[in-house]
Amino acid sequence: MVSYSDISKGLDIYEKHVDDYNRNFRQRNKLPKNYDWRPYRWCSRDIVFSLLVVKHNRQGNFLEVDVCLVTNPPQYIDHSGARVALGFLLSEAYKCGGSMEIVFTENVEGGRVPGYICDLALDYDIHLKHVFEGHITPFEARQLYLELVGFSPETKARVMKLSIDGGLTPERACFVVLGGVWTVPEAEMIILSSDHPERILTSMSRPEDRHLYLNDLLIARSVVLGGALDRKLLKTELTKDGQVIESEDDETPLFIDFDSSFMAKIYRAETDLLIPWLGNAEQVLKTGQSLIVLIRARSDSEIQRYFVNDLRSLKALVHKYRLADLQTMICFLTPRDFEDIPKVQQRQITSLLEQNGVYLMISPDSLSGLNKEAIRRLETGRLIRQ
Amino acid sequence: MSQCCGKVPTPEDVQAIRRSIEGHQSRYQGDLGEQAVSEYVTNELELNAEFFDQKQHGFDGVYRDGAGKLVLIESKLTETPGLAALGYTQHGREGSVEWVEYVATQMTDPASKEYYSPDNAKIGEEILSIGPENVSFLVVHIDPGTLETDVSKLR
Repeated sequence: MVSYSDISKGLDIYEKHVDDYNRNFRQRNKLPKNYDWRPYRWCSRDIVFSLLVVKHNRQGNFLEVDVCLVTNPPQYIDHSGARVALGFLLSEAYKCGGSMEIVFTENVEGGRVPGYICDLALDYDIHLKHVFEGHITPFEARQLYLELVGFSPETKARVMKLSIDGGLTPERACFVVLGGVWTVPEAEMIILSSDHPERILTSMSRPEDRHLYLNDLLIARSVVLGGALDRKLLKTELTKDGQVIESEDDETPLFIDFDSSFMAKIYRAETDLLIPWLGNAEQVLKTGQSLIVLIRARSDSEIQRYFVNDLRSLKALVHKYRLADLQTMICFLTPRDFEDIPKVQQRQITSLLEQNGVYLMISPDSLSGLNKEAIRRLETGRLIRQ
Repeated sequence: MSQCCGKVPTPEDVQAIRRSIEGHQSRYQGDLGEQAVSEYVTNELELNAEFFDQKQHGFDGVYRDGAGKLVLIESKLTETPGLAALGYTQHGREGSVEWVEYVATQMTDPASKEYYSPDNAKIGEEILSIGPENVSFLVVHIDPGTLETDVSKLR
Protein backbone atom coordinates (compact mmCIF):
# COMPACT_ATOMS: atom_id res chain seq x y z
CA MET A 1 0.00 0.00 0.00
CA VAL A 2 1.52 3.35 -1.04
CA SER A 3 1.05 6.15 1.47
CA TYR A 4 -0.24 9.56 0.43
CA SER A 5 3.08 11.17 1.37
CA ASP A 6 4.88 8.75 -1.01
CA ILE A 7 2.49 9.76 -3.80
CA SER A 8 2.96 13.42 -2.95
CA LYS A 9 6.75 13.06 -2.89
CA GLY A 10 6.73 11.16 -6.19
CA LEU A 11 4.56 13.86 -7.72
CA ASP A 12 6.98 16.59 -6.56
CA ILE A 13 9.88 14.76 -8.22
CA TYR A 14 7.79 14.17 -11.33
CA GLU A 15 6.94 17.86 -11.50
CA LYS A 16 10.61 18.77 -11.26
CA HIS A 17 11.44 16.39 -14.13
CA VAL A 18 8.64 17.84 -16.25
CA ASP A 19 9.91 21.38 -15.60
CA ASP A 20 13.48 20.31 -16.47
CA TYR A 21 12.25 18.61 -19.64
CA ASN A 22 10.27 21.69 -20.58
CA ARG A 23 13.24 23.96 -20.05
CA ASN A 24 15.91 21.76 -21.64
CA PHE A 25 14.03 20.28 -24.57
CA ARG A 26 10.57 21.63 -25.32
CA GLN A 27 11.45 25.31 -25.07
CA ARG A 28 14.66 24.77 -27.05
CA ASN A 29 12.80 22.67 -29.62
CA LYS A 30 15.22 19.79 -29.03
CA LEU A 31 14.60 16.10 -28.65
CA PRO A 32 16.03 14.21 -25.65
CA LYS A 33 18.53 11.37 -25.96
CA ASN A 34 17.85 7.96 -24.45
CA TYR A 35 20.21 8.81 -21.59
CA ASP A 36 18.30 11.99 -20.63
CA TRP A 37 15.55 11.82 -18.03
CA ARG A 38 12.21 11.68 -19.83
CA PRO A 39 8.83 11.99 -18.08
CA TYR A 40 5.76 10.21 -19.48
CA ARG A 41 2.13 10.09 -18.49
CA TRP A 42 -0.02 7.12 -19.49
CA CYS A 43 -3.70 7.97 -19.74
CA SER A 44 -6.90 6.69 -21.24
CA ARG A 45 -9.10 9.73 -21.84
CA ASP A 46 -8.90 11.64 -18.55
CA ILE A 47 -7.86 8.71 -16.36
CA VAL A 48 -4.19 8.51 -15.41
CA PHE A 49 -2.81 4.99 -15.15
CA SER A 50 0.83 5.69 -14.62
CA LEU A 51 3.39 8.48 -14.29
CA LEU A 52 6.94 7.48 -15.15
CA VAL A 53 10.36 9.09 -15.50
CA VAL A 54 13.05 6.97 -17.15
CA LYS A 55 16.50 7.16 -18.70
CA HIS A 56 19.02 4.72 -20.10
CA ASN A 57 21.99 4.44 -17.79
CA ARG A 58 24.97 4.20 -20.10
CA GLN A 59 27.49 3.12 -17.46
CA GLY A 60 25.37 0.28 -16.14
CA ASN A 61 23.60 -0.47 -19.46
CA PHE A 62 20.21 -0.62 -17.72
CA LEU A 63 16.98 1.37 -17.64
CA GLU A 64 16.82 3.66 -14.63
CA VAL A 65 13.44 4.68 -13.24
CA ASP A 66 13.19 7.77 -11.02
CA VAL A 67 9.39 8.02 -10.76
CA CYS A 68 6.96 5.14 -11.03
CA LEU A 69 3.50 6.12 -9.79
CA VAL A 70 0.89 3.53 -10.65
CA THR A 71 -2.82 3.31 -10.04
CA ASN A 72 -5.20 0.47 -10.85
CA PRO A 73 -8.60 2.13 -11.37
CA PRO A 74 -11.25 -0.33 -10.13
CA GLN A 75 -13.43 0.14 -13.22
CA TYR A 76 -10.71 -1.40 -15.43
CA ILE A 77 -9.20 -4.88 -15.56
CA ASP A 78 -6.99 -6.04 -12.66
CA HIS A 79 -3.50 -4.56 -12.53
CA SER A 80 -4.35 -2.21 -15.43
CA GLY A 81 -1.95 0.53 -14.26
CA ALA A 82 0.82 -1.93 -13.44
CA ARG A 83 0.41 -3.58 -16.87
CA VAL A 84 0.69 -0.20 -18.61
CA ALA A 85 3.73 0.83 -16.55
CA LEU A 86 5.53 -2.50 -16.88
CA GLY A 87 4.76 -2.75 -20.61
CA PHE A 88 6.30 0.67 -21.13
CA LEU A 89 9.34 0.02 -18.93
CA LEU A 90 10.16 -3.29 -20.63
CA SER A 91 9.64 -1.88 -24.13
CA GLU A 92 11.72 1.18 -23.27
CA ALA A 93 14.47 -1.04 -21.83
CA TYR A 94 14.49 -2.96 -25.12
CA LYS A 95 14.30 0.14 -27.30
CA CYS A 96 17.20 1.84 -25.53
CA GLY A 97 19.43 -1.11 -26.37
CA GLY A 98 20.32 -2.06 -22.81
CA SER A 99 20.55 -5.40 -21.08
CA MET A 100 16.80 -5.31 -20.16
CA GLU A 101 17.75 -4.79 -16.51
CA ILE A 102 15.51 -2.23 -14.79
CA VAL A 103 16.68 -0.34 -11.72
CA PHE A 104 14.45 1.82 -9.52
CA THR A 105 16.08 4.76 -7.72
CA GLU A 106 15.61 5.70 -4.07
CA ASN A 107 12.76 7.99 -5.11
CA VAL A 108 10.58 5.01 -6.05
CA GLU A 109 9.09 3.70 -2.80
CA GLY A 110 12.47 4.05 -1.08
CA GLY A 111 14.37 2.18 -3.78
CA ARG A 112 12.33 -1.00 -4.17
CA VAL A 113 10.42 -2.50 -7.08
CA PRO A 114 6.98 -0.83 -6.84
CA GLY A 115 4.42 -2.88 -4.94
CA TYR A 116 1.90 -2.92 -7.76
CA ILE A 117 4.49 -4.36 -10.16
CA CYS A 118 5.41 -7.02 -7.58
CA ASP A 119 1.70 -7.91 -7.29
CA LEU A 120 1.46 -8.31 -11.06
CA ALA A 121 4.61 -10.47 -11.15
CA LEU A 122 3.11 -12.62 -8.41
CA ASP A 123 -0.04 -13.01 -10.51
CA TYR A 124 2.15 -14.25 -13.37
CA ASP A 125 3.84 -16.66 -10.96
CA ILE A 126 7.18 -14.94 -11.48
CA HIS A 127 9.37 -14.56 -8.41
CA LEU A 128 11.35 -11.31 -8.38
CA LYS A 129 14.54 -11.92 -6.43
CA HIS A 130 15.75 -8.37 -5.86
CA VAL A 131 12.60 -6.48 -4.89
CA PHE A 132 14.15 -4.51 -2.03
CA GLU A 133 17.30 -3.72 -4.00
CA GLY A 134 15.00 -2.17 -6.64
CA HIS A 135 16.24 -4.42 -9.47
CA ILE A 136 14.47 -6.43 -12.13
CA THR A 137 17.08 -8.69 -13.72
CA PRO A 138 17.24 -9.32 -17.51
CA PHE A 139 16.01 -12.90 -16.96
CA GLU A 140 13.03 -11.70 -14.91
CA ALA A 141 12.36 -8.96 -17.47
CA ARG A 142 12.20 -11.53 -20.27
CA GLN A 143 9.74 -13.69 -18.32
CA LEU A 144 7.59 -10.68 -17.44
CA TYR A 145 7.61 -9.45 -21.04
CA LEU A 146 6.43 -12.80 -22.43
CA GLU A 147 3.65 -13.05 -19.84
CA LEU A 148 2.58 -9.44 -20.30
CA VAL A 149 2.19 -9.80 -24.07
CA GLY A 150 0.06 -12.90 -23.54
CA PHE A 151 1.30 -15.31 -26.20
CA SER A 152 -0.25 -18.78 -26.20
CA PRO A 153 1.89 -21.59 -24.69
CA GLU A 154 2.46 -22.99 -28.20
CA THR A 155 3.72 -19.63 -29.46
CA LYS A 156 5.91 -19.13 -26.39
CA ALA A 157 7.50 -22.53 -26.95
CA ARG A 158 8.21 -21.67 -30.61
CA VAL A 159 9.66 -18.28 -29.62
CA MET A 160 11.96 -19.93 -27.10
CA LYS A 161 13.08 -22.46 -29.71
CA LEU A 162 13.80 -19.65 -32.16
CA SER A 163 15.73 -17.91 -29.39
CA ILE A 164 17.87 -20.99 -28.76
CA ASP A 165 18.49 -21.32 -32.51
CA GLY A 166 19.62 -17.70 -32.49
CA GLY A 167 17.00 -16.48 -34.95
CA LEU A 168 14.84 -14.24 -32.78
CA THR A 169 15.04 -12.94 -29.24
CA PRO A 170 11.85 -13.22 -27.16
CA GLU A 171 12.19 -9.51 -26.36
CA ARG A 172 12.02 -8.66 -30.06
CA ALA A 173 8.88 -10.79 -30.51
CA CYS A 174 7.30 -9.00 -27.55
CA PHE A 175 8.43 -5.55 -28.67
CA VAL A 176 6.89 -5.81 -32.15
CA VAL A 177 3.56 -6.53 -30.42
CA LEU A 178 3.68 -3.88 -27.68
CA GLY A 179 5.29 -1.48 -30.16
CA GLY A 180 2.15 -1.77 -32.27
CA VAL A 181 3.66 -3.35 -35.41
CA TRP A 182 1.68 -6.60 -35.10
CA THR A 183 -1.14 -7.57 -32.74
CA VAL A 184 -0.87 -10.70 -30.59
CA PRO A 185 -3.04 -12.87 -32.94
CA GLU A 186 -1.12 -11.52 -35.96
CA ALA A 187 2.28 -12.24 -34.37
CA GLU A 188 1.08 -15.72 -33.40
CA MET A 189 -0.05 -16.30 -36.98
CA ILE A 190 3.43 -15.35 -38.23
CA ILE A 191 5.27 -17.38 -35.58
CA LEU A 192 3.18 -20.50 -36.04
CA SER A 193 2.63 -20.50 -39.81
CA SER A 194 5.93 -19.35 -41.25
CA ASP A 195 9.00 -21.54 -41.63
CA HIS A 196 11.13 -18.51 -40.86
CA PRO A 197 9.09 -16.17 -38.68
CA GLU A 198 12.27 -14.42 -37.56
CA ARG A 199 12.69 -13.03 -41.08
CA ILE A 200 9.28 -11.31 -40.91
CA LEU A 201 9.44 -10.22 -37.27
CA THR A 202 12.92 -8.78 -37.70
CA SER A 203 12.17 -7.46 -41.23
CA MET A 204 15.36 -9.17 -42.29
CA SER A 205 14.69 -9.57 -46.02
CA ARG A 206 15.20 -6.50 -48.16
CA PRO A 207 13.30 -5.88 -51.40
CA GLU A 208 16.58 -6.48 -53.24
CA ASP A 209 16.50 -10.07 -51.97
CA ARG A 210 13.52 -10.51 -54.25
CA HIS A 211 12.43 -14.09 -53.58
CA LEU A 212 12.91 -13.99 -49.84
CA TYR A 213 11.14 -10.64 -49.63
CA LEU A 214 8.18 -11.78 -51.75
CA ASN A 215 7.86 -14.91 -49.65
CA ASP A 216 7.74 -12.80 -46.48
CA LEU A 217 5.26 -10.46 -48.12
CA LEU A 218 2.96 -13.36 -49.03
CA ILE A 219 2.72 -14.37 -45.38
CA ALA A 220 2.59 -10.80 -44.10
CA ARG A 221 -0.36 -9.89 -46.33
CA SER A 222 -2.31 -12.97 -45.19
CA VAL A 223 -1.60 -11.95 -41.62
CA VAL A 224 -2.82 -8.42 -42.33
CA LEU A 225 -6.01 -9.84 -43.85
CA GLY A 226 -6.55 -12.06 -40.81
CA GLY A 227 -5.87 -9.10 -38.51
CA ALA A 228 -8.46 -7.01 -40.37
CA LEU A 229 -11.05 -9.72 -39.70
CA ASP A 230 -10.01 -9.89 -36.02
CA ARG A 231 -10.57 -6.16 -35.66
CA LYS A 232 -13.89 -6.26 -37.50
CA LEU A 233 -15.17 -9.05 -35.24
CA LEU A 234 -13.83 -7.43 -32.06
CA LYS A 235 -15.37 -4.04 -32.75
CA THR A 236 -18.78 -3.47 -31.25
CA GLU A 237 -21.02 -1.55 -33.59
CA LEU A 238 -23.62 0.79 -32.16
CA THR A 239 -26.38 2.57 -34.00
CA LYS A 240 -26.64 6.30 -33.40
CA ASP A 241 -29.05 8.56 -35.29
CA GLY A 242 -29.61 5.80 -37.84
CA GLN A 243 -25.87 5.47 -38.53
CA VAL A 244 -23.64 2.59 -37.52
CA ILE A 245 -20.69 3.73 -35.43
CA GLU A 246 -17.90 1.66 -33.92
CA SER A 247 -17.53 1.80 -30.18
CA GLU A 248 -14.04 2.76 -29.08
CA ASP A 249 -14.36 1.29 -25.62
CA ASP A 250 -16.36 -1.91 -26.03
CA GLU A 251 -14.77 -4.97 -27.52
CA THR A 252 -16.76 -8.08 -28.33
CA PRO A 253 -15.57 -10.89 -26.06
CA LEU A 254 -13.99 -13.27 -28.54
CA PHE A 255 -11.49 -16.10 -28.31
CA ILE A 256 -9.02 -16.08 -31.22
CA ASP A 257 -6.81 -19.04 -32.12
CA PHE A 258 -4.95 -20.19 -35.18
CA ASP A 259 -4.57 -23.47 -37.04
CA SER A 260 -1.17 -23.29 -38.67
CA SER A 261 -1.63 -26.43 -40.78
CA PHE A 262 -4.44 -24.74 -42.77
CA MET A 263 -3.53 -21.06 -42.27
CA ALA A 264 -7.00 -20.76 -40.74
CA LYS A 265 -8.24 -18.54 -37.92
CA ILE A 266 -10.44 -20.00 -35.22
CA TYR A 267 -12.92 -17.77 -33.42
CA ARG A 268 -15.20 -18.65 -30.55
CA ALA A 269 -17.78 -16.08 -29.56
CA GLU A 270 -18.65 -15.40 -25.94
CA THR A 271 -21.72 -13.48 -27.06
CA ASP A 272 -23.88 -13.61 -30.20
CA LEU A 273 -22.30 -11.63 -33.03
CA LEU A 274 -23.04 -10.91 -36.67
CA ILE A 275 -20.48 -12.41 -39.04
CA PRO A 276 -19.22 -9.69 -41.37
CA TRP A 277 -18.40 -9.69 -45.08
CA LEU A 278 -20.79 -12.48 -46.07
CA GLY A 279 -22.63 -10.37 -48.65
CA ASN A 280 -26.34 -11.06 -48.54
CA ALA A 281 -26.01 -14.17 -46.36
CA GLU A 282 -26.60 -12.75 -42.88
CA GLN A 283 -25.30 -15.20 -40.31
CA VAL A 284 -25.02 -14.89 -36.55
CA LEU A 285 -22.29 -16.67 -34.63
CA LYS A 286 -23.99 -17.88 -31.50
CA THR A 287 -22.44 -17.88 -28.04
CA GLY A 288 -20.03 -20.80 -27.71
CA GLN A 289 -20.18 -21.57 -31.45
CA SER A 290 -16.90 -21.76 -33.40
CA LEU A 291 -16.07 -20.02 -36.63
CA ILE A 292 -13.17 -21.28 -38.75
CA VAL A 293 -11.91 -18.97 -41.48
CA LEU A 294 -9.50 -20.10 -44.16
CA ILE A 295 -7.41 -17.01 -44.94
CA ARG A 296 -6.33 -16.64 -48.54
CA ALA A 297 -4.94 -13.25 -49.54
CA ARG A 298 -4.92 -13.80 -53.29
CA SER A 299 -5.30 -11.67 -56.40
CA ASP A 300 -8.08 -12.40 -58.93
CA SER A 301 -5.75 -14.47 -61.13
CA GLU A 302 -4.34 -16.31 -58.10
CA ILE A 303 -7.86 -17.15 -56.90
CA GLN A 304 -8.67 -18.70 -60.27
CA ARG A 305 -5.41 -20.57 -60.41
CA TYR A 306 -5.26 -21.88 -56.86
CA PHE A 307 -8.94 -22.38 -56.02
CA VAL A 308 -8.69 -26.13 -56.66
CA ASN A 309 -5.96 -26.37 -54.00
CA ASP A 310 -7.93 -24.13 -51.66
CA LEU A 311 -11.02 -26.28 -52.11
CA ARG A 312 -9.00 -29.33 -51.16
CA SER A 313 -7.82 -27.56 -48.01
CA LEU A 314 -11.39 -26.51 -47.28
CA LYS A 315 -12.67 -30.06 -47.57
CA ALA A 316 -9.98 -31.24 -45.15
CA LEU A 317 -10.82 -28.33 -42.84
CA VAL A 318 -14.54 -29.17 -42.93
CA HIS A 319 -13.73 -32.79 -42.20
CA LYS A 320 -11.50 -31.91 -39.26
CA TYR A 321 -13.76 -29.38 -37.55
CA ARG A 322 -17.27 -30.57 -38.46
CA LEU A 323 -16.39 -34.01 -37.23
CA ALA A 324 -15.72 -32.52 -33.80
CA ASP A 325 -18.69 -30.15 -33.81
CA LEU A 326 -21.46 -30.06 -36.41
CA GLN A 327 -22.38 -26.50 -35.46
CA THR A 328 -18.97 -25.12 -36.48
CA MET A 329 -19.22 -22.47 -39.20
CA ILE A 330 -16.57 -22.45 -41.89
CA CYS A 331 -15.73 -19.51 -44.16
CA PHE A 332 -13.35 -18.84 -47.02
CA LEU A 333 -11.89 -15.33 -46.81
CA THR A 334 -10.51 -13.53 -49.86
CA PRO A 335 -9.77 -9.89 -50.63
CA ARG A 336 -12.09 -7.72 -52.75
CA ASP A 337 -10.18 -8.87 -55.84
CA PHE A 338 -12.61 -11.81 -55.96
CA GLU A 339 -15.07 -9.43 -57.60
CA ASP A 340 -12.65 -8.91 -60.51
CA ILE A 341 -12.87 -12.49 -61.74
CA PRO A 342 -15.49 -13.29 -64.39
CA LYS A 343 -19.04 -13.67 -63.07
CA VAL A 344 -19.34 -17.21 -64.38
CA GLN A 345 -16.34 -18.34 -62.37
CA GLN A 346 -17.54 -16.41 -59.33
CA ARG A 347 -20.79 -18.38 -59.49
CA GLN A 348 -18.91 -21.67 -59.90
CA ILE A 349 -16.72 -20.97 -56.87
CA THR A 350 -19.69 -19.88 -54.75
CA SER A 351 -21.60 -22.99 -55.77
CA LEU A 352 -18.68 -25.30 -54.89
CA LEU A 353 -18.32 -23.61 -51.52
CA GLU A 354 -22.05 -23.96 -50.83
CA GLN A 355 -21.93 -27.66 -51.69
CA ASN A 356 -19.32 -28.08 -48.95
CA GLY A 357 -21.21 -25.93 -46.44
CA VAL A 358 -18.67 -23.13 -46.59
CA TYR A 359 -19.53 -19.42 -46.67
CA LEU A 360 -17.69 -17.01 -48.94
CA MET A 361 -16.32 -14.04 -47.04
CA ILE A 362 -15.11 -11.08 -49.10
CA SER A 363 -13.00 -8.49 -47.33
CA PRO A 364 -13.51 -4.82 -48.33
CA ASP A 365 -9.71 -4.58 -48.70
CA SER A 366 -8.07 -5.18 -52.05
CA LEU A 367 -4.85 -7.15 -52.38
CA SER A 368 -2.93 -4.01 -53.31
CA GLY A 369 -4.15 -2.40 -50.06
CA LEU A 370 -3.09 -5.46 -48.07
CA ASN A 371 0.32 -5.46 -49.76
CA LYS A 372 0.76 -1.79 -48.98
CA GLU A 373 -0.04 -2.35 -45.31
CA ALA A 374 2.21 -5.43 -45.13
CA ILE A 375 5.10 -3.46 -46.68
CA ARG A 376 4.50 -0.63 -44.19
CA ARG A 377 4.72 -3.04 -41.28
CA LEU A 378 7.85 -4.73 -42.60
CA GLU A 379 9.43 -1.30 -43.08
CA THR A 380 8.41 -0.23 -39.54
CA GLY A 381 9.98 -3.40 -38.18
CA ARG A 382 13.23 -2.46 -39.90
CA LEU A 383 13.47 0.74 -37.85
CA ILE A 384 13.33 -1.11 -34.53
CA ARG A 385 16.33 -2.39 -32.59
CA GLN A 386 17.36 -5.79 -34.00
CA MET B 1 -10.68 0.24 -22.46
CA SER B 2 -9.86 2.72 -25.15
CA GLN B 3 -6.23 3.04 -26.18
CA CYS B 4 -3.94 4.01 -23.32
CA CYS B 5 -1.60 6.71 -24.62
CA GLY B 6 1.82 7.67 -23.35
CA LYS B 7 2.82 11.28 -23.74
CA VAL B 8 5.40 13.66 -22.38
CA PRO B 9 3.33 15.89 -20.11
CA THR B 10 3.40 19.66 -19.95
CA PRO B 11 3.71 21.47 -16.59
CA GLU B 12 -0.03 22.26 -16.94
CA ASP B 13 -0.80 18.53 -17.17
CA VAL B 14 1.09 17.93 -13.93
CA GLN B 15 -0.87 20.70 -12.20
CA ALA B 16 -4.14 19.14 -13.39
CA ILE B 17 -3.05 15.72 -12.11
CA ARG B 18 -1.98 17.25 -8.79
CA ARG B 19 -5.31 19.07 -8.39
CA SER B 20 -7.17 15.86 -9.15
CA ILE B 21 -5.16 13.86 -6.61
CA GLU B 22 -5.59 16.54 -3.96
CA GLY B 23 -9.31 16.62 -4.72
CA HIS B 24 -9.50 12.92 -4.03
CA GLN B 25 -7.16 13.04 -1.07
CA SER B 26 -9.83 13.11 1.64
CA ARG B 27 -11.70 10.22 0.03
CA TYR B 28 -8.45 8.33 -0.49
CA GLN B 29 -7.44 8.95 3.10
CA GLY B 30 -10.88 7.95 4.34
CA ASP B 31 -10.91 4.68 2.38
CA LEU B 32 -7.32 3.92 3.29
CA GLY B 33 -7.90 4.76 6.95
CA GLU B 34 -11.02 2.65 7.29
CA GLN B 35 -9.44 -0.34 5.58
CA ALA B 36 -6.30 -0.17 7.71
CA VAL B 37 -8.26 0.43 10.92
CA SER B 38 -10.59 -2.44 10.21
CA GLU B 39 -7.62 -4.78 9.76
CA TYR B 40 -5.85 -3.41 12.84
CA VAL B 41 -8.86 -3.57 15.16
CA THR B 42 -9.74 -7.11 14.17
CA ASN B 43 -6.21 -8.54 14.11
CA GLU B 44 -4.37 -6.57 16.80
CA LEU B 45 -7.08 -5.58 19.28
CA GLU B 46 -9.01 -8.81 18.68
CA LEU B 47 -12.37 -7.08 18.58
CA ASN B 48 -15.33 -8.47 16.64
CA ALA B 49 -17.17 -6.32 14.12
CA GLU B 50 -20.81 -5.57 14.99
CA PHE B 51 -23.54 -5.29 12.33
CA PHE B 52 -23.31 -1.58 11.67
CA ASP B 53 -24.18 0.49 8.59
CA GLN B 54 -21.64 3.21 8.41
CA LYS B 55 -23.37 6.38 7.30
CA GLN B 56 -22.16 9.77 6.23
CA HIS B 57 -22.03 10.92 9.86
CA GLY B 58 -21.61 9.12 13.15
CA PHE B 59 -19.26 6.41 14.33
CA ASP B 60 -16.51 5.02 12.11
CA GLY B 61 -16.82 1.54 13.52
CA VAL B 62 -18.71 -0.45 16.12
CA TYR B 63 -17.13 -3.59 17.60
CA ARG B 64 -17.50 -5.88 20.61
CA ASP B 65 -14.75 -7.03 22.92
CA GLY B 66 -14.27 -10.58 24.19
CA ALA B 67 -16.83 -10.00 26.94
CA GLY B 68 -19.44 -8.85 24.40
CA LYS B 69 -19.31 -5.17 25.43
CA LEU B 70 -19.69 -2.48 22.79
CA VAL B 71 -16.53 -0.63 21.68
CA LEU B 72 -16.86 2.46 19.49
CA ILE B 73 -14.00 3.24 17.12
CA GLU B 74 -13.02 6.54 15.58
CA SER B 75 -10.39 6.22 12.85
CA LYS B 76 -8.06 9.09 12.04
CA LEU B 77 -5.59 9.26 9.18
CA THR B 78 -3.90 12.53 10.05
CA GLU B 79 -0.53 13.86 11.05
CA THR B 80 -2.04 15.01 14.37
CA PRO B 81 -1.52 12.16 16.80
CA GLY B 82 -3.93 10.46 19.21
CA LEU B 83 -6.84 12.21 20.90
CA ALA B 84 -5.77 15.59 19.53
CA ALA B 85 -7.09 14.42 16.15
CA LEU B 86 -10.68 14.36 17.43
CA GLY B 87 -12.71 17.14 15.85
CA TYR B 88 -15.35 19.47 17.28
CA THR B 89 -19.02 19.32 16.24
CA GLN B 90 -22.18 21.26 17.13
CA HIS B 91 -22.98 18.46 19.54
CA GLY B 92 -19.71 18.36 21.40
CA ARG B 93 -16.30 16.97 20.62
CA GLU B 94 -16.10 13.64 18.80
CA GLY B 95 -16.02 10.88 21.39
CA SER B 96 -17.47 13.03 24.18
CA VAL B 97 -20.43 11.61 26.15
CA GLU B 98 -22.67 14.37 24.75
CA TRP B 99 -21.66 13.55 21.17
CA VAL B 100 -22.04 9.77 21.61
CA GLU B 101 -25.51 10.30 23.11
CA TYR B 102 -26.51 12.55 20.21
CA VAL B 103 -25.29 10.06 17.59
CA ALA B 104 -26.96 7.12 19.39
CA THR B 105 -30.25 9.03 19.55
CA GLN B 106 -30.06 9.84 15.84
CA MET B 107 -29.32 6.20 15.03
CA THR B 108 -32.63 5.18 16.58
CA ASP B 109 -34.64 7.82 14.71
CA PRO B 110 -36.04 6.52 11.35
CA ALA B 111 -36.38 10.11 10.16
CA SER B 112 -32.63 10.63 10.46
CA LYS B 113 -31.37 9.31 7.12
CA GLU B 114 -27.77 10.24 7.86
CA TYR B 115 -27.60 7.92 10.87
CA TYR B 116 -30.55 5.49 10.90
CA SER B 117 -30.77 1.91 9.71
CA PRO B 118 -32.45 -1.07 11.44
CA ASP B 119 -29.03 -2.41 12.55
CA ASN B 120 -27.88 1.01 13.70
CA ALA B 121 -31.12 1.50 15.68
CA LYS B 122 -30.36 -1.62 17.75
CA ILE B 123 -26.86 -0.35 18.53
CA GLY B 124 -28.19 3.14 19.36
CA GLU B 125 -30.76 1.67 21.76
CA GLU B 126 -28.09 -0.42 23.47
CA ILE B 127 -25.81 2.61 23.91
CA LEU B 128 -28.66 4.69 25.35
CA SER B 129 -29.77 1.88 27.66
CA ILE B 130 -26.34 1.32 29.24
CA GLY B 131 -25.46 5.01 29.12
CA PRO B 132 -23.03 6.62 26.65
CA GLU B 133 -20.51 7.22 29.43
CA ASN B 134 -20.26 3.45 29.98
CA VAL B 135 -19.38 2.60 26.38
CA SER B 136 -15.69 2.20 25.50
CA PHE B 137 -14.40 4.65 22.92
CA LEU B 138 -11.08 4.16 21.11
CA VAL B 139 -9.27 6.40 18.65
CA VAL B 140 -7.18 4.46 16.13
CA HIS B 141 -4.71 6.85 14.58
CA ILE B 142 -2.69 6.18 11.42
CA ASP B 143 0.20 8.36 10.35
CA PRO B 144 -0.36 9.04 6.62
CA GLY B 145 3.39 9.25 5.99
CA THR B 146 4.53 6.06 7.68
CA LEU B 147 1.17 4.23 7.97
CA GLU B 148 2.13 3.42 11.59
CA THR B 149 -0.91 2.82 13.79
CA ASP B 150 -1.49 3.71 17.45
CA VAL B 151 -4.53 3.46 19.69
CA SER B 152 -5.70 5.94 22.33
CA LYS B 153 -8.42 5.01 24.79
CA LEU B 154 -10.80 7.83 25.60
CA ARG B 155 -12.98 5.75 27.92
